[in-house]
Amino acid sequence: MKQTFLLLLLVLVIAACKKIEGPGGTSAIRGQLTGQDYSFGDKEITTVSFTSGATIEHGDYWLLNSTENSKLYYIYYTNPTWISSADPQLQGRIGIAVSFNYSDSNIEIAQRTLDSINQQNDLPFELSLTQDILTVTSKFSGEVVDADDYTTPFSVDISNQGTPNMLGDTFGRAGERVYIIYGDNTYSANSIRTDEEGKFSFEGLQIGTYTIYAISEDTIQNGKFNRISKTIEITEKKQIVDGGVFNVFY
Amino acid sequence: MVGYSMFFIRKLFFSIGIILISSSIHSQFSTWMGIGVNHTFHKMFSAELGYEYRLKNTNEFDKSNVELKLSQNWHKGIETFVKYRNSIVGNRNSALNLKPFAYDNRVSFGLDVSFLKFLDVKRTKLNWVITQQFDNYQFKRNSSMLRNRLLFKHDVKDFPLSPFVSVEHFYRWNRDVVYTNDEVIISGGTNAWRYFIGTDVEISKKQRLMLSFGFRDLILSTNDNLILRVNYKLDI
Repeated sequence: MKQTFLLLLLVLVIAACKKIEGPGGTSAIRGQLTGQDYSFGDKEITTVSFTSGATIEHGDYWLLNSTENSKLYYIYYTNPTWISSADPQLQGRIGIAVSFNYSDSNIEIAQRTLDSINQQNDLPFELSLTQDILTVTSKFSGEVVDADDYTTPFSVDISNQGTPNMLGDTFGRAGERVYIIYGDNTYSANSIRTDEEGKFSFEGLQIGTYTIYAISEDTIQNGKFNRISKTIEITEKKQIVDGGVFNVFY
Repeated sequence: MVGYSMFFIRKLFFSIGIILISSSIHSQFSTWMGIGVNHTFHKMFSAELGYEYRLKNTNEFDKSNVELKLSQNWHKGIETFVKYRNSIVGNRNSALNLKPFAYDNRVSFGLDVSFLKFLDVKRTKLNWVITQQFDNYQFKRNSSMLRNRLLFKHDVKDFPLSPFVSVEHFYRWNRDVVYTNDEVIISGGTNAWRYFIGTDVEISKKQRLMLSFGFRDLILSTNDNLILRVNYKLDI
């Protein structure tokens, strides 16, 4: 009898079959896909009007941004008559030094600034100068944090915003596809469509980690699409996990 | 008693024959071919090792089973058993684990009651087999199934054939999964009925061939099955 019991136990151990992420479970992931219509962002245009050297202090600076996080600048003004450094040493930004004299006119300050910025490689914007007005046009469409005159007396204006224009309200989108990736896989194994409220439910899932994503249009580059994704974990059987809201652009 | 049994068996043969013919129109066809070796020891224990190869129609691979069955005869006509079965099937989710085949495991235990043995009836069998089985699949929901099988078999005197019929009911404890707003409800229900009609062919005292034709009626699926089953058994 004891042997029979041990044999039965052995059989049960052998029967243990390893499960992995995918179908064959009793859990579900639910969520909602919402969408917003938009019009593409434009190339941001910034104009800077300069003043004469007599109005600038050694160490004054202004901030210039771009669509790329690695290319944010500060332009500071240094007078050779000063011994101390004019560089404010801002972290996460590229410093551009402009040497000036108190006797410089506003046009000369504008020209010196243009020359100093042009010494940088791979600028993410194009520059043009008209008298004392410097026009900075972003090379790429999209949102740019506005330039700031900061400690300088210059006048900084944004003549054309790069931010995409959002149209209408965000609401649940019907009939849109939502995809699921099982575990560490790269590609989706299944997809479903949303209901009339934009809700979706992936059911029959096993314990494990899943990536849920929807496809959104890129608000900057025409024809490009992005994944709006979330990694969601099912930790037990018969569990319904709320994946939350996936907001996409149309 | 034997005369009554024969009358009953004839009626049952006829009924199941009608079911098989009427069900054959829209069903898929399967071929099950098996071989088994049985050994009895100490008169009350027996071990059986079997292999079965299943085909869809007559040429497409469906499933390959290896099964080990251990049974114990407690009393005349009362037997208990435990079984383990490993199946190899085509992997429909091969993209997930890059394996062409999937393995399914089944553990079951049950009770086989042979009623007519209580009455010392030798040539006719009336058996009720109740089995609880647990199936573990890699990419399907695990299954817990209660099976009840009724078998009538008659050993024709001075003739190598023993015709039989059987009816089996499959009740799945976790058949239905309902995803409500905030919980998952699992409930049971009849999964299938299976009918077999056939005969044992006694090749020798230790060898027999079982030929049968069956029909599996799936309750929540239209994939009903007609089954041709050929099984060779050897006692050693």
